[in-house]
Amino acid sequence: MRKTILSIVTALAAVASTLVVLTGPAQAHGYISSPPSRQANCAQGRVANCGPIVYEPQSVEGPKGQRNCHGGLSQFAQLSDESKPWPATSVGQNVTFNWVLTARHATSTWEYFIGNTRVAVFNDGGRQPGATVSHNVNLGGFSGRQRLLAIWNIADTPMAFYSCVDLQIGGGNPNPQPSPTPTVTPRPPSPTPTVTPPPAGGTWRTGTYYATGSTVTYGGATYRCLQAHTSLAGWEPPNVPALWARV
Amino acid sequence: MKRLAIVLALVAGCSAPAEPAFNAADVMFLQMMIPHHEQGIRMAEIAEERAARPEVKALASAIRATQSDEAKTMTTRLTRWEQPMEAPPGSHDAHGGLHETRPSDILSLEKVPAGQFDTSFLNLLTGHQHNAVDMARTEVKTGLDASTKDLAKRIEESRNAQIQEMLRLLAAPQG
Repeated sequence: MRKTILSIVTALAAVASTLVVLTGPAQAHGYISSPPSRQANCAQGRVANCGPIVYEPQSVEGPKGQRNCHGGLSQFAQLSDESKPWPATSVGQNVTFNWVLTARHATSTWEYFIGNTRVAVFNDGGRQPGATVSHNVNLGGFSGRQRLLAIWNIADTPMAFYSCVDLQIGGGNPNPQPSPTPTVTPRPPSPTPTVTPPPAGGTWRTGTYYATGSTVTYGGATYRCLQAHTSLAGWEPPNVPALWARV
Repeated sequence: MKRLAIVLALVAGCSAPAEPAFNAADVMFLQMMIPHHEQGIRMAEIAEERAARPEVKALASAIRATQSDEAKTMTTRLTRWEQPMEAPPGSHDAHGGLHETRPSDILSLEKVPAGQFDTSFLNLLTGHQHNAVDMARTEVKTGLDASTKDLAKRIEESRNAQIQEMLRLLAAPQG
């Protein structure tokens, strides 16, 4: 009997929370990952103080026809702030742009602009894109430092997704200010949502390569590495028995 | 009415501390996350075989190992709660299946030319993990069971960290 009542309660809760889930926040959709777009640089932690875009680089969705980097969304206005030290990627005249998609909307076109010039357009004719999308774009003779704006126009809504990519075309120093290169820079601490301070007395750190057999301390206990990996927030030794054994 | 009162009293009186306190959001989260994990594990397995860069391979191995553990934890929990492993058909259709990684996507990862593998894999898994973050956030907001919400918090945190790492690998010069 008790079980029956619990089942009824569970079932009612099921109905209630299904409604919550189905009417939950709008899901996000896509951005350019490489060469890194501004939101990719923010999400990666390479550019600091970007605001909430670090948690959802895929969400720069606004009405079609805009020519800004933030889709007209005030919470993402930092993406259009030209005073921020956006790193530029050195490229030649032909560049492959790679998109991360989290939802595959039927697509009318993908447009690429430098200034007011549309340097490329790809017409999908209302089709659903694949799980990943890449476009090879000829930059039409532009050179030097340029801000490219990519727009993903959705076929069945009035909306589009916006991604700006800073490029240094055809040589020259892309980042005149002392600026980090991704291969030598440790993870910058301030804008990243995921760096956890180690507990007092622990030697475990995020962003560190641990070889199989190496040992760390965490929360007063010692752990031995079972599988070589670079540590990440959320992979604290007691949480990932596949990677660490307590000794 | 009197009977109901007695029953409720019995329920209250008998409630052992071990009685699971979970809601449908917890169940839905686990039911959606288990297959999502399996897809991620399959992608990681392919990358362990095909990735060109050692750091991509190492990341894939660690993701496979940690997600396999998480999938076991989640399966055990649903079993203990006496809940089905799968949600009723159609309950995830709110977005028309737009957010799924499909079997054909994973198949395409097996066939992508070697020179493009790392980029394809990293973009596919980054999108996949963004969706895991969304599901985990929903669980943190709407779930009830403390250990499932803790798991969701760790999933949110570790997937965000993986996304950062994958974006770094995508932006770094190909070695």
